[in-house]
Amino acid sequence: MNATPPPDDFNEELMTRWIDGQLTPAELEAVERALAADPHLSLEMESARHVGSLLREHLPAALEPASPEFFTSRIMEEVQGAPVLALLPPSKDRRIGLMSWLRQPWFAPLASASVVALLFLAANGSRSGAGSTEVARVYAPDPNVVATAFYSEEAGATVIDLQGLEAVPADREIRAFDVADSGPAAPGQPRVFHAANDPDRALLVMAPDTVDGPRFRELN
Amino acid sequence: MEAVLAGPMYLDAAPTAPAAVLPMPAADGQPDDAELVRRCQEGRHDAYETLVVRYRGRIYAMIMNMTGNDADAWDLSQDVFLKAWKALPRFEARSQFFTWLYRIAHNVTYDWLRKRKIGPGTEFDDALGHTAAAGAVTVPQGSSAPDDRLRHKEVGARIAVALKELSPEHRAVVLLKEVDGLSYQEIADTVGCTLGTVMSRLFYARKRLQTLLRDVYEAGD
Repeated sequence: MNATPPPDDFNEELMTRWIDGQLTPAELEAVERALAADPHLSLEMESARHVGSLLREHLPAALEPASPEFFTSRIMEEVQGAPVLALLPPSKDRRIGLMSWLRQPWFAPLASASVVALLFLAANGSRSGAGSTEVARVYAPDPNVVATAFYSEEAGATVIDLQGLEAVPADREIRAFDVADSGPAAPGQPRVFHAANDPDRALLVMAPDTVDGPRFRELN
Repeated sequence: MEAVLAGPMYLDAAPTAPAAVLPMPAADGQPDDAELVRRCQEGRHDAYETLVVRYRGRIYAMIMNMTGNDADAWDLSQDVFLKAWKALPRFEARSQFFTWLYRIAHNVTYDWLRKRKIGPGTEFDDALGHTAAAGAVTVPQGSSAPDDRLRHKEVGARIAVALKELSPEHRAVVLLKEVDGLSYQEIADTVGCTLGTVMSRLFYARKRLQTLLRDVYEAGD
C-alpha cells in the first residue's frame, strides 16, 4: 500500500475538523483536492467518519438511570441536609480548589490552634440515649470531603469518617463540634452555632467570605 | 485548573454533529437553567430538583459510556449532583450550567477511573458491554428484528471493549464529541485542557478506534 504522503499543511487538526465538517470553504477545497489525489487517505478519513457513526448509533447520549425517581429523591434528601448553601452568595473572586479554605491566611491561626476541619453534628445535633449516640447530620465545610458518622458499639463512641481529605500534617487535629442548627442567617450576616446541649453557649461563628467561602471563628 | 485557550478559531456548526443538543431545552412552563441556578443559589431545593431531573439522563449516560458499568455510573452520577449542589454557590454565569455540570461529571469519573486504574482486560465484563441496568430507560434504536438486535448488541459490546483500550483522557474526548455533541471549546472547558490538546486527543482516539473497529464497520457496509 503506497499511500501518497499528505501535504504538509494537512495535519491532525485539519483532518479532525474535516471529519467534523468544520472546515472553511477554502480549507475544504484544499482538503478535497488532497483526498482526490490520495485514495488511501480518502479511505482513512471516511473510516473515521464511520467510527463516529458507530458510536452515535450504539451509545446513548441520554439514558435514564434505574429507578429515576429514587435516584432523584436520594440526591434531594442529601441536598436538604446541606444548609450551608444559602449562606454562600456567589462571588466574582471566589476560587474553586480542594481544601482551598484550609490554605487561606485566615485559617492559619485556626490551624496553629490545632483545628483542621470543622464538623457539625447539626440539625438536632447528637442525641444521646442509653449508651449510644445518634448523629443527625454531619457537615464538612469542604465540598470534596465526604463526612459520615456512625456509632461504634465496639469503640463505644461516635465515629466520624472523612473521605477525600488531602494529606493532613500530623500536628493538626481533627475536631468536631456538637452543635444545634441555628437556621439560616440574614444575607451577609454571620451565622452562630450553639452547643447542642446548651443553646446559650455559642461555639462557632461562620461568616460568608468574599473570596474563598465560609470563614469560621471558634469561640472560647 | 482553568483551560488555557489558544490557537485558531474553530467553527462549531458541525453538519455531522450528533443529535444531542445542549443545554437541554426547558419543558413548557419551566424556567431555563440560568433561572434555576439563580434560585438554587438562594437555597431553593425545588429548583435543584428540576435541574437534576433535566440532566440526570445525560450525566448518567456520559458516565455509563465512560465506565461501562451501570452500578458505578449510578453511584458516580449521585456523587456528581451532590458535588454540584455543594459547589453551586461558587458557580458563576461565565459558563453555561450544563458545561459546568459536565466538567464536574468528567472530574468525578476521571478521578474514579484513575483510582481504579481500569485498563484493557481488567475489571470489565466483556459479556455485558454497555448493558444498562434493568430499570434504565433509553431511546429505542428502531431495530426490531431479532437478528438486528443481536447484531446491535454484539457491536455495542465490541465498541465497549474498544473504548476500554483508550486512555480515560482519549475516551472522554471522543465520547464528548461523538456522543454528547459538544463543541471543541466545550470539550476543552469540560476536561480542562487546551483546544490543541482536544484536537490531538480526538485525532488519536479516532485513529485507534478505526483500527479496533475496522471489521465492525466494514461488515456493516
